[in-house]
Amino acid sequence: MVEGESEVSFEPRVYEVGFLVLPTVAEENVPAEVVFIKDVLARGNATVISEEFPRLRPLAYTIRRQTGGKYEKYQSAYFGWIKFEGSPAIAADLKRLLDASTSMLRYLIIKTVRENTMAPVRPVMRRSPMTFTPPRVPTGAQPAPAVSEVELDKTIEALVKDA
Amino acid sequence: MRFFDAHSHPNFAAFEGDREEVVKRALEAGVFMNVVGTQKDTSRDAVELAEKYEGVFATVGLHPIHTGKSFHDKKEIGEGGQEFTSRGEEFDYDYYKKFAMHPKVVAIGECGLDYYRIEYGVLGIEEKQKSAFQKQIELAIEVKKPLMLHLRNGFGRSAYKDAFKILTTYNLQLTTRRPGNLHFFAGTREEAKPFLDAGFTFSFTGVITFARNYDEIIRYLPLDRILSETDAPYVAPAPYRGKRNEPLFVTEVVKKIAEIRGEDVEKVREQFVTNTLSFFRMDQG
Repeated sequence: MVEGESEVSFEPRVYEVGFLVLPTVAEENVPAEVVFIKDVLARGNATVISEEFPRLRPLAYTIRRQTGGKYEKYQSAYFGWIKFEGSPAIAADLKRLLDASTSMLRYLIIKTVRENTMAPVRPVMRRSPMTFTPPRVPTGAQPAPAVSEVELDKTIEALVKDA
Repeated sequence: MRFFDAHSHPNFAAFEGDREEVVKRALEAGVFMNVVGTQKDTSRDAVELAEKYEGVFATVGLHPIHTGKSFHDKKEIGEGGQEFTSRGEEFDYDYYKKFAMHPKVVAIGECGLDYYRIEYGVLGIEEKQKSAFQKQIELAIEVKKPLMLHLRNGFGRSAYKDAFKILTTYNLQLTTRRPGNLHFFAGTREEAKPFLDAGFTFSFTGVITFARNYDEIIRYLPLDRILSETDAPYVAPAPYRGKRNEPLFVTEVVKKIAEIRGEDVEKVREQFVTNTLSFFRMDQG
């Protein structure tokens, strides 16, 4: 449950749980972690609004976690999130179960809104190798100096930055 | 100046490729900024940036998370700093004082206590954090500048309560109107009250644009005690969430605070500028 929230309230609210699954979890077992969370939500009649399946990502900083009496350091983890609508009691239940989970590195549950709050993802401009074909020079005119690939790349970079 | 980002880190490695553009973009939009250092290198870089631009100021100090053997944040100091952060830093009073006396340095920090990333008693980190915090309080008193506080609860313990106990031991000397700011305030009303009574201000980041956890405290605090910040590059506000944050985006924080409080955006904007100038003592001729 989000700190300061009463479990007594029955009015459904919108929450978002962001979670990091340990990178030591085998990739084929990661879906089971998502199913675990969704089962908790389903048992409490919560509705999933949107989600992103966990994928392995480098962490912005190393996270240390105590496992069986010693500390392990992690520099990557499977990051995923689920936005759901449910009661504060469900959020509290989820918190308890995630606290006890041995395969979660970290998680955060926040109260939020139904609307999408994420920045739109811009399509990536793929830079494929360019082959430069010099323009045809009219008969009698001096040919223009060849443009190097380095200069071309810089021009393209400037265009992408300005976009 | 129309906005003031009271706490951001354009000095960090996350802005390595386009720092100048980011700063200019903000200044051109009327956003002034306070660039906050977190250890020796980033503090020095903050001052260098402040020297370069009129609307840029600096805060110097040692972040609690860097006082002991800790994590390495690539967004903060890039890949190359890994070895350095694994050793931790001892607070070098003379080093920081040299920068603290610079006319464009407006606060000492970010300093305080961070219980989120450490476990109680591990490696004596808590004692190191407390020691560095105390020295920075003493530095702030000596150079007569306010504190930029980083306080984060963790493992069931309140960094706010512990920090206030430490601060009260300096009470007689910290009786300036605005002794400090609780940056990225994430505590409860109960934790805020003693700081409020003691004259501190509270700043909020872009997280308030997509998390509703802060609405109550934002409504509770008097408007003249609130500052706006980005804490860039972290926690970009909606509609930029998921992207790298930057000082320009503080405009979204101001708009959201006005919306949460049901107040006129222009009135809130003006008040925040007044609050920030007052906090950094820039309104004292």
